[in-house]
Amino acid sequence: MIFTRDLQKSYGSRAVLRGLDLVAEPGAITLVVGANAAGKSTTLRLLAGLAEPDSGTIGIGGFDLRTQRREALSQISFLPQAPRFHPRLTVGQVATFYAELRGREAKRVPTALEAWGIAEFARTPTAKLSGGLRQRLALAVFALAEAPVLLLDEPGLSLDPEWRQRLQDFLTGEAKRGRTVVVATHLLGEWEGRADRCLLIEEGRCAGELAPERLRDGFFGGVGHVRAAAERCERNVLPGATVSEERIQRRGAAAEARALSVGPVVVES
Amino acid sequence: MRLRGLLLFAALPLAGFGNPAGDVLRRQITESAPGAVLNVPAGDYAGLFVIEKPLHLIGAPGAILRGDGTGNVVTIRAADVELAGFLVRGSGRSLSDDNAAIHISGARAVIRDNRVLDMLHGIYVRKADGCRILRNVVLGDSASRETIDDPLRSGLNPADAASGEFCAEPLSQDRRGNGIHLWNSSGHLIEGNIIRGTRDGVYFSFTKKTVVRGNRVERVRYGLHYMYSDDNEFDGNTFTENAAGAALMFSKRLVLRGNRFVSNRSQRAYGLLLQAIDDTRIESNRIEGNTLGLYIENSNNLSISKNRVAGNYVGLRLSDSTQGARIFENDFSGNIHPIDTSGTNSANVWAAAGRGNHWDGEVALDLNRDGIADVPHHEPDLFGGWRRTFPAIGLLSASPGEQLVRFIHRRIALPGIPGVTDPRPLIRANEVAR
Amino acid sequence: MSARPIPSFLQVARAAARREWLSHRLNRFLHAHVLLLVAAGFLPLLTPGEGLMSGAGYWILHAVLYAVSLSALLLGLSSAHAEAEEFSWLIGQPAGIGPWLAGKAAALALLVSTSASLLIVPAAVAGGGSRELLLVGAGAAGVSGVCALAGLAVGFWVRDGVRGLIATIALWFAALFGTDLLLLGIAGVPVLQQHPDVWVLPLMANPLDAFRVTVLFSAERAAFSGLDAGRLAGWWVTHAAVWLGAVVSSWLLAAAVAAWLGARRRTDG
Repeated sequence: MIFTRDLQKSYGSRAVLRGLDLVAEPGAITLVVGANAAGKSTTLRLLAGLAEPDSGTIGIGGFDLRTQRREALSQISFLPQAPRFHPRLTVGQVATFYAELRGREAKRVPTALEAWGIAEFARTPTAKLSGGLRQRLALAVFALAEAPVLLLDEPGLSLDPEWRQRLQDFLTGEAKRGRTVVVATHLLGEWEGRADRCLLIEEGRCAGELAPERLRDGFFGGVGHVRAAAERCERNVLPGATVSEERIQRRGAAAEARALSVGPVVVES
Repeated sequence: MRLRGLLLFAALPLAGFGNPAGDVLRRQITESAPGAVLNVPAGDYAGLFVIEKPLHLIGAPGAILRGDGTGNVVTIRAADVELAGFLVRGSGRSLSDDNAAIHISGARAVIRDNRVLDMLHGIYVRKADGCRILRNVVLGDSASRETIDDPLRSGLNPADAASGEFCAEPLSQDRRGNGIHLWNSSGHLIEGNIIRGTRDGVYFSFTKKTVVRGNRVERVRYGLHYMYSDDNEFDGNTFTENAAGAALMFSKRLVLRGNRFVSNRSQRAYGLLLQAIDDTRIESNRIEGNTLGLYIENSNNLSISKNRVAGNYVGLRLSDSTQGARIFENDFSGNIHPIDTSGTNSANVWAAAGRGNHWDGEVALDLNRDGIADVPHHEPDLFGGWRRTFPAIGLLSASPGEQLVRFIHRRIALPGIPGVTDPRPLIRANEVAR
Repeated sequence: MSARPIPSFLQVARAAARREWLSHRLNRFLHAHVLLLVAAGFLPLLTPGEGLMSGAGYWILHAVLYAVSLSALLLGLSSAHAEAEEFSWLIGQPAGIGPWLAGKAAALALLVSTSASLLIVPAAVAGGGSRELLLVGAGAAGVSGVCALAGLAVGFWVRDGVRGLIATIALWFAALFGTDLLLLGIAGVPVLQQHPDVWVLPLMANPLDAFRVTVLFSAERAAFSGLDAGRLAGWWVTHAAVWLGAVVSSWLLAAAVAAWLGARRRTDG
């Protein structure tokens, strides 16, 4: 289990988290959703120990991240949003290194690479990998840790649909094995019916919880709302993107939908 | 009458009971006719030996003349004595008595092909002219370096030399004498000797018209220790790894040609030190890797040409008291400080017959391709007087900062920095110097 | 939940060292650095005859001051920047950043220092081998190691590639010329003339100057004519090699700490 209590974090004068409280239980997939700059990624960075909160408490697997950092981090495997690796190291070298850092046997590496379909690239420098292959390497490294708590920040962005499906299957399986899975995402539609909980973060706080089986409908009017907005613009949006109505701006013949995605979603004329 | 080929003792016993071998040899020396040739077979002959008549004493390989640690092993008092082929060892160690392995006071002695060790002085010539000292090997007790005081302050003492008391060294410091020691004599030929590990290598005092050629002196205190000796010529000698280098003082009309003064590196060592030296030619020598390559003070009318002054800490230190020096066609390369001067050196010239010196690292224009740079070369002495008033400045030697300022000065002659100006710098190093 | 086993400091450091070694096999900076060392190592052979033994140190001194030091700095910089993309993986590991950085820095310093032996091999093979040459080689190795770790620290503090390059070159200029020019400029100040030890201190602290003084006055035995320049200067010149060892060790440690601080600082960026 992980929890945060009254978590605060600012970058300069900009407050990102303003007293965030959340709980994620073992055996469940918990989504963390929200608009851009709502604090999703910051929350995961704090949970993963990549940044220090200004105040508040983070508990991971029964350990306080501030006072028992090593023990707490040993419970976590974290998948960053856009994983990249040392450009001059091969796939095999990267995976072996992280296995060593986690105290895993090096002989597990080929199995992990095989599981994510990159065994044949074991001797390829990571600089030569495509975005999708790099993401699969990241997932192999992520899985190698065999940690009880899995944190994923916008996973699967570079993956094709088949591997996105496999990722979700993998996470579902891990949750069933009693692991705590926390996913920050904006691709709500893909998780409908797979997630156990969905926490909405707005302006640095947990603003509520959405019904996991009706993610498309429950969030800002859902995809239907986006579709409606797009139809008003006589446009189509990127699959899976959810767009709030007030953020749709008309720009002449084109409309820019600033969605809950990484960047602007441009709706073609 | 000279008896050629007189063979001594068919089978002399080696040194043993009653020193019979030495006694027999002594008797033969005494009894031989003047001019006789004594061929001495291999054996250990206990000395001391005194030769008071013209005689040729020729040692076979393995012939040893052994002193008893007192006096001179061989004393040559007569003219025209030849001593060749021996291992001579075991002289006394009395500095006040000038003990030597071979002590010569007879004219025209020929000392050749001997090996000399375990002695105070090696070969000592006193008031005897026209000696020929050839191809001997003189080994002192130690080949180790010594650190000594600056010879300008304490090393060479003219008063001692004038009185004939040359060895003012404290006894407790060292019981070594000089390799070849010449005093108050003239007309010698010193050639092809190897001297190593003695106190000084070749010592000159009041010795004139002597040629010193092709000798090698290494790992001694002064390779050449030289005073009050005029009209001498040094040709093709090597003085290397000596604690204080070569020092010449109070003499005139010398020629130093084709010698190598190399790797004399102790704290106050000089490649070649000239003090009060007049009317002297110094040409085609290699002065390399010394603490102070060439030091000239209070000297007049020197001609310094075609020398290679390279890789020294200070290449050339030229005092303002030196006048009339013509410094040309030399190669100054790789010295940490090429020039150390106390002023502008206006009394000396840095080019002759339209040719100056080569200064490495200088990127010079030569549009007419005559081998002479089109603009003068300014060689700064960046530290100048600070060396004396603020010696710590020497820690910036060869530092990038110092090199940068030197680089700039060579091009735009920064004001207030002492140095010399070569009006006709050479584009290439002089081949003769190499 | 119980704490999971965490690899020891040594295990992580060893893995990081191995990773650093592997990563440099394809590093063009290292290839250029090695080529430079080989070329510089052959320079002494231009010294004819007996001058080889006495001249090698002087050649190597200049090669280290004007080329190898910069090359090592850039190598360190490249080593830091190559990790940039992977930081979110590295610092989230339970063992923390310290062991990883210790292993990385040690391997980098060892690699650079060991390769510095190329500077003396040609001269040694050609018959110029001596205790003094060994001392010069050891000094060059130490200075190279310091420069590499300094470059590493700059790389961790200045994340941007171009800015990092500018900062590194600025640092090199400051170390190479800055101290000398400053001391030349103030050498005439009466207070310093009365207290030469104060004037000497910055020179002693600069590893490039310490190396130069060691080569000149200890290995090459060029006579420093200012033994009466002050107690500190006299001590330094007569114990130049000892001091070089001390100052190189100190700077290695300082640079490693600076790199660690720089890396930690980026966790919260």
